[in-house]
Amino acid sequence: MPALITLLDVTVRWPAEPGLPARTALKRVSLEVAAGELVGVVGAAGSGGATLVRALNGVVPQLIPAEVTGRLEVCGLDAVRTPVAEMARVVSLVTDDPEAQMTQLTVDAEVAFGLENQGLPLDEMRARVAEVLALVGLDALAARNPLTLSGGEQQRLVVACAIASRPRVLALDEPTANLDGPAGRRVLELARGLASGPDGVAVVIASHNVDLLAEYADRIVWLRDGRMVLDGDPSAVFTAMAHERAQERVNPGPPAATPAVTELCARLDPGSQALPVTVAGTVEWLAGRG
Amino acid sequence: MSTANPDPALVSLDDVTYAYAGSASAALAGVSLEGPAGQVTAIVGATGSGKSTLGRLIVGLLRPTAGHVRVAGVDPARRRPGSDGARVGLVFQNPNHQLLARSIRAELALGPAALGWGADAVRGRVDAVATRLALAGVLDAHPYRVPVPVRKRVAIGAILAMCPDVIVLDEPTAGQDRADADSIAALIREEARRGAAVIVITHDLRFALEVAESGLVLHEGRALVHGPVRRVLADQATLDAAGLEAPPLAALALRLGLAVPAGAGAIEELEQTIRGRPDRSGPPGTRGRAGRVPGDHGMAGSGGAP
Repeated sequence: MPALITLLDVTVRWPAEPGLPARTALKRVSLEVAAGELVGVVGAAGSGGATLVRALNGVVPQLIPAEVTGRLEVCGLDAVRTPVAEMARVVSLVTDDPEAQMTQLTVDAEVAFGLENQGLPLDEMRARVAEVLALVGLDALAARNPLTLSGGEQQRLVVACAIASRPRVLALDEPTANLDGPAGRRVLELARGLASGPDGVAVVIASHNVDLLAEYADRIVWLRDGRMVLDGDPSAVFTAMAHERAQERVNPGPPAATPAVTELCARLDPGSQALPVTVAGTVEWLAGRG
Repeated sequence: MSTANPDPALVSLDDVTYAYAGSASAALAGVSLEGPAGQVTAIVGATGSGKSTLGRLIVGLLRPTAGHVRVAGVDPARRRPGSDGARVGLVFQNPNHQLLARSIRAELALGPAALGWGADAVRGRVDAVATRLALAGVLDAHPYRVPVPVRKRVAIGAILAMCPDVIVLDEPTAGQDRADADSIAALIREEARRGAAVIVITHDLRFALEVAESGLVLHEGRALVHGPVRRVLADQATLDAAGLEAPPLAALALRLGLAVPAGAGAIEELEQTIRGRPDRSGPPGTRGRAGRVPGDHGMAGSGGAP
């Protein structure tokens, strides 16, 4: 599969502003994501995941000013310089502040907003709105004002908006922060389905919800203080992370969130390089240990 | 909080029903709850189960359609701001709905200053809260220029700065990384030790098991069960009925037929249980120790535990 996302030596530097010093959020990060891949970006707060996700459709640095160096190509477009309106045709972004994304007076109009911008025919637009609202379980709330929805419902609404335009790249920042367990799982299942489906969407999710990422991601990118620590399959990355936590090895920066089951297994087997990352995997692993 | 005169229910809800105007069904129906001083009570339930409505009723932002809410014996919706009696604080789920000052320092100082504390006392409390919530480095920034998770901690700090007698926190860990969630848990435990009645509304069951003594499970506006948090959240039937999912460590313990661990040392606790299992080769789901719930005495997450 060809890479839909290519980062080569990408550095993102936030300028100083009142009360906040200048800060380098990403430091020479290189990364490729192919069509059909679901990649989780993890790390402690402030490690750069949110910045990486926002750079994928050009919002950073075009709407949120920052200094970007290196090459950032998404669907063959230079994400740093291609206007966001053009990037938005192929990349959908969901931020961790759903309410800030909302502009319309009803839930269905909110979903239709992006489709109208794309000039979709009315019939197709109506069908698409109904389809994605059903996918996120909001079909009964189509006529509600988005601002009267609960926090969890708002979060599902912005996911619906993001997938309605059938993007080739889906960039999500903390999409499950306000969701209960099953609702968060449905969002990840939806993302997994888009990646594995015929459209082969490339999905990048920055999240502290490592337990869900462990179950659904093909790859985990571990960032610490803006630098990439590891990029690999969930077991390899989370095993390394869990051993680091267990041994309390001192590294610069706070510890990253690690799946609890992996931490547990790292305590039971400090030597293993391939620990389970899910509950089902752990049950099997424990049985195998006898 | 005096032990000579324990207040068994600083917060009490008696058969409370609430229906939003224009809504066909009640958001809450016949819910009763006691939130004692010095204890943390977790309110859990699926999205839309009525958790946030319950929080707004406790602080008096909403008045029940039927039933009674009492905070220190008084109807919170009838209390005038600035009057004597129990101080009540709500941390909103969305910090954008709560914050209004132009710097994080001013936001944290707003409540204590309004309470008439002296400048030194205000400064001292602001610094203490900022340190515990990892806000010391951003005190002069505008609250809306920091990332959402940081803004959320500002919202928590702005309420805790006032040392309220009753604290309601709506989704305090949303968007927080593990280290910050742990600090928030420790801070909440401290507030309870000080004597506050703390109500934590959360979808994060790992956090609920870590921080709370008791738990109330809501489902479609009704209380399914109210009891010690480990018993409530370790019961698969309750979780299924509420449309919830056990957090991974609890799910693993349930699958293995072991006691569900809780508190800050949950991983270590389950490690010891697994190491001490008499028959480690037994098939998953061995029922031998199912149902045994050690520590079912309201000390979960006391913070001092290893």
